[in-house]
Amino acid sequence: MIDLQIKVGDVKLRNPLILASGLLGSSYSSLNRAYENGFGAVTTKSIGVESRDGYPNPSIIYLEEIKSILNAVGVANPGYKVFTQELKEMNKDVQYVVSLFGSNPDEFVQMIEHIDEHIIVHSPSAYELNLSCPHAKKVGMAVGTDPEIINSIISCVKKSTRIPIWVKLTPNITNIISVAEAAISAGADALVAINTLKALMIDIYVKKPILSNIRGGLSGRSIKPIGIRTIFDLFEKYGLEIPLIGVGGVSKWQDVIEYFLAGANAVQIGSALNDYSSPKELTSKIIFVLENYLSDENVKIGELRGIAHE
Amino acid sequence: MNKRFNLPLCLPIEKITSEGLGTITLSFTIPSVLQTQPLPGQYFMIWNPGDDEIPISISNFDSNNSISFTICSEGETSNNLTKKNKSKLIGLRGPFGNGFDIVEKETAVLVAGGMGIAPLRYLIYYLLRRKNIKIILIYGAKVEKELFFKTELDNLSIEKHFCTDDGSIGYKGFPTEILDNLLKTTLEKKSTEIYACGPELMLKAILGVVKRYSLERFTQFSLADRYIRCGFGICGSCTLDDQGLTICHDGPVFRGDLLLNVKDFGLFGRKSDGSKFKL
Repeated sequence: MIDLQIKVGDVKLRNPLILASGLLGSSYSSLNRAYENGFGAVTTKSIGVESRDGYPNPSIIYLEEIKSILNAVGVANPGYKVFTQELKEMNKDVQYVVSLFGSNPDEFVQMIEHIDEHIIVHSPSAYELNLSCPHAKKVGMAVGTDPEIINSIISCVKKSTRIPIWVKLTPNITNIISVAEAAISAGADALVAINTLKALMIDIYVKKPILSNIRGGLSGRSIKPIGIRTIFDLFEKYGLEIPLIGVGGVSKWQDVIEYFLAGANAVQIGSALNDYSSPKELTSKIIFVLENYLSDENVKIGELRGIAHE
Repeated sequence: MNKRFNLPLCLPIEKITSEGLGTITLSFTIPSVLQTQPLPGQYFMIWNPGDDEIPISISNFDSNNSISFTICSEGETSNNLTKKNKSKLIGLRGPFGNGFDIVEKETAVLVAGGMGIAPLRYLIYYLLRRKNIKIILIYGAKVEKELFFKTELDNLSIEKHFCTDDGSIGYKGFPTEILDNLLKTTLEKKSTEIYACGPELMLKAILGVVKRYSLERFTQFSLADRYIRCGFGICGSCTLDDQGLTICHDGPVFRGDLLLNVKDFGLFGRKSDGSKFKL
């Protein structure tokens, strides 16, 4: 039996596959189900201070040709107070990460303090700060491209909680190192990269953009090389100094290995859910072959981290 | 082959049929080269460009590849769709969902409430092609005018039981009472499959009835009347607690034995922000 356990900083996970934010994360029951189906941890949908209906549809479109998804959901969520009730219903064995978005340090602190206060017994494994959503106004990428704001958000948040803070970065920036630097110096416990890439699609008969929000974020297989390059860049710069979670186009066991070789400690999976008949099929197929590979290579998964840099 | 259009397939409205009370049926012809054969109970996301996109059950699909969607004027986008003119381009993304499991039993009992007739209408035509199945339709609405397709259904050689809340036509009362009575008297339970669609509170009552006859495993419910975003089961916007089932992909058709364990069924709906509301 191959041990797939990994550590992201102090957070120990039974395997390196984390359900990415924005997928099946709106309710406790879908998160519980995803964890039961084999993920090492599950991430909630991004939650904000106020409830948001999100954008009208079409807001999520599957691009079959490139096995990718274009979305502009618009951070639909019921607000942190209502969502805290969902968190209370999480099964006790589930390792979960709460994704949060906000426009300033106070909002993040307000949400985290509330959750910390109300979820005492079965706390989140980490908070993931979504500083990277490309299609929500005044939050997400709007704050996540400014190193100063990033620094102040993370500094404030770190003072208010003992739970690890993961920071999800945007690839929609010239130099990701500038924002990574800000996050690390403010005390981030891990970096998560990448969020979706800003994208747009037009229907050639209607002659209008398909997404109601016009612009959206691209995820899935088409962005994997960009995710790999970003993790490679971050590992090249910071080495073992900061844990890295690779996201973007992971759909097969080979992708997991590739992200580890580039420098990741774990990966997140989202769009690939659509490539399999069920989340269970996805995790079991990936894990089964991953175990065989590690056994054949006679290595532990953690030992693969950053090897491509040697 | 049941090909799915993942991107909106934009087609001109070919025909608009008024069904009364602001309800209309929009028909489109899907090019045969696209080879799709959607099942009764499946739905499409109907995109009104510049407005919104909403899930609508297929109310008919015939051998000429003509597909129909029946839309009432209740919601804002539905209402906008009912005001469209012929030839206007509408995007069809789908078919999505599992659809009804067509079971080769002697008798198919279809129970419809109000607009719930739409997917069952397609099911009727689908079953009529299979000569050996006896079809019994139980169809209820508040008042006579809300019994859509009444004339069309009258012309079909199937057994029909209409009812209205006010008794303006047919039995005065609910479809559940007629179903209960049939199960008590004439129906051979072993050879009966039940298909239901309508307001969720009615579906919940039907589940109560069929459970008394131990028929929950043989009763299929379409929960088509809920908020859906992606259509393919990944965004989680339509999750049913507490098993984490998605309406859009695991459903919208569920068997009664499964629904008995679904906490939200008949109790809570979900809004687009993810919060729940009492039905």
